Amino acid sequence: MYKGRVVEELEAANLMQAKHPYTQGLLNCLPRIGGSRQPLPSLDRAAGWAE
Amino acid sequence: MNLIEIDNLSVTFDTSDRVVRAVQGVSLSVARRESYGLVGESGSGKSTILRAICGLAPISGGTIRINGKPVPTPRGRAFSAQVQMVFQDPYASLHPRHTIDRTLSEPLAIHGLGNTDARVVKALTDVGLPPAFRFRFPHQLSGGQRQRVAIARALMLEPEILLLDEPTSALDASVQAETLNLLNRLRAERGLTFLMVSHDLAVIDHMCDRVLVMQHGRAVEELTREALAGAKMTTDYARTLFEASADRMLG
Repeated sequence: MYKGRVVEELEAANLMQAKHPYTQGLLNCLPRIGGSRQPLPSLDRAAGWAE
Repeated sequence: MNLIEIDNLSVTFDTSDRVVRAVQGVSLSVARRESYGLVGESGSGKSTILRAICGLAPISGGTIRINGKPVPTPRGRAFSAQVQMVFQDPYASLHPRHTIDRTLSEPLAIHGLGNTDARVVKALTDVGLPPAFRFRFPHQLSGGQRQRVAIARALMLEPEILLLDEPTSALDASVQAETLNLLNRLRAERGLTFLMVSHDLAVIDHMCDRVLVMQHGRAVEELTREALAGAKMTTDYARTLFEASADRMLG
C-alpha cells in the first residue's frame, strides 16, 4: 500500500517479481550479502504512485 | 591496542525462580575505527553484551576494557563521553514529554558544556533534520526521524564508540537504508568505532568489517566480511543462519 491505496497485490512467494516501482523500490533499498559498500539506494517517490 | 576488549564475559541474571545465563564466556575485540557486528537469534545474548558494556546489565564474570582500562562501576561521565548507545526502539528511547531540544541539551548540561543552542542546531543538521524540529515532541516525528534524534543524542558528547542495538529493525526498508547511510557517513566523518547488534545478516554484511555469530549466550564463530559473503563459515549454526538469508544475497 502507498498513501492509503493498494498499488500491487501478489503472491508472497513471488515478492521478488513485483512489478510496481514502489514495491521494487522498497526491495531495492535492502542491503544484500556480498553487495557493495556504497550508500544504499533510498526511495525516489514518484507523484504518480499516489494516483 | 584494541579500543574495545571483552575477555571471557559472563552475564547472569539471578531471579527468584531461576538463573538465566544470558552471556557465557564471550571474548571479542574491536579495533579503533572498526565496525564489528554481533548476530544471532533472539535470546542469543547479543544485546546483553552491549548492555553490559554500558552498565545496564551486570558483569558476572570476565572483563570489559575500553582503551585498555577496565570499565568503572558506576560508569560515570568520562565513560559517557566516550561510549554511547543507540537503542532499537526509537518510540521508547526518547522521553515522550521532553522536547527534542531538551533531550539533546541534557547531556551538555550534565557535562557542563556550553554553547548549547549552536550545538543542538548542529546536531540536528548533522543527522539531516531541520533545526526547527528542536521545538517538537517525539510524537510529532516519524519513526525514522525519531531514530535520527536518538543518533544525534548519542553524538552530543562526541564519543568515539557507538553501541548500536538493532538501530533499524523498527524502520521500513527505505528508512532503514537512509539510517544505515547516515551511520556510515558519520562513522567516516568522525572516525567512529561501531559495535552493532542485528539479527539481519545482510545489514551486518553492509555495515561491519567482522561479525561474531552467537547462540544461547555463547560465541559460535567469528567471520570477516569476506568470509561471510563467501560462505566460508565453518560451524553448522553460522551456515544455517547464512542459508536462512538466501533471499538477501546478491544476484
